[in-house]
Amino acid sequence: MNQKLMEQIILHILSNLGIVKTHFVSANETKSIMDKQFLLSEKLTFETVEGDILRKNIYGSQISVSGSKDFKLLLADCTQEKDFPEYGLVIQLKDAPTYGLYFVFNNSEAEALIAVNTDKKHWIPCSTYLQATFLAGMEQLRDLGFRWKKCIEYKELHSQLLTFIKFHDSYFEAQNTNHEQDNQGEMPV
Amino acid sequence: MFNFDILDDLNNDPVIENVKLDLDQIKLNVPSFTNEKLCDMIIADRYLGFRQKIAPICMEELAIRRAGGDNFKFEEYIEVEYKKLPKLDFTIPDIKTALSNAIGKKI
Repeated sequence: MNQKLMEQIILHILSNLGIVKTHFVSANETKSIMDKQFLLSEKLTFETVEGDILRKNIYGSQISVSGSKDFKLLLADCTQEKDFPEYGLVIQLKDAPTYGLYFVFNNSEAEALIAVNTDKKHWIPCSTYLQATFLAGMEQLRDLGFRWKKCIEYKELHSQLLTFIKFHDSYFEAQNTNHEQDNQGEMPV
Repeated sequence: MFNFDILDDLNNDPVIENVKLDLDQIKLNVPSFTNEKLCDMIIADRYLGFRQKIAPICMEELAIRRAGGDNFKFEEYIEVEYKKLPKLDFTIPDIKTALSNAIGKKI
């Protein structure tokens, strides 16, 4: 897996959604998804390692790409430390698999993940091909200039957002464990 | 690939013995297998895309039996049984194509 490529894909998508600022997307011409007009009533609750409870915002927006086909997007601000912003985002086009991306901004070691689920429960990391088509799809939406509206009827996608965030945690936890074992010269069980 | 249900299940399981495929043992055993079993092994090897090392072993045994006078039509058996299996499809619809299909009607 080309981790650097995946990071750039995610950065590009988040830039186009106005979530992060980059030099290749004009902030003035980009409507941010992370706007109070898209703020949902649901909150994401975290317990930090210090035991503090954090309540973070969730934003939801959607567009109607054709008569009955809604494209929905939920974004969770998962930032726990101000210097390391992190976001979880899930998107779903009606009758298509749900895709999720997660990014932790860290200059030394960013965490990036793009995953897909086809059964509304289980997530699998995307191949480079699927990552590329995900980017292409998001670019297509931007180029066609659809207008985002606040998301309605997002209960199912919200529950998928939560499973995706948990999946991200377990995925990187498992990766870190494997790295530690490799560094110690132990064979993975 | 990871998911919570599977990880939970694995955590509750006893230690899993690391079983290794022993091709030498298979070579020793094939003479005792029926023709149908040998064919089923070939089909499974091809269908599931294993390392495809078992199929040649079984095929060799079937060829030896035919040379020895066995009239079992293993080619026909394999072809018929293989076609009965459902087609495997691991492709995941990509969002670009799904969007193009949806938007296509509009533009």
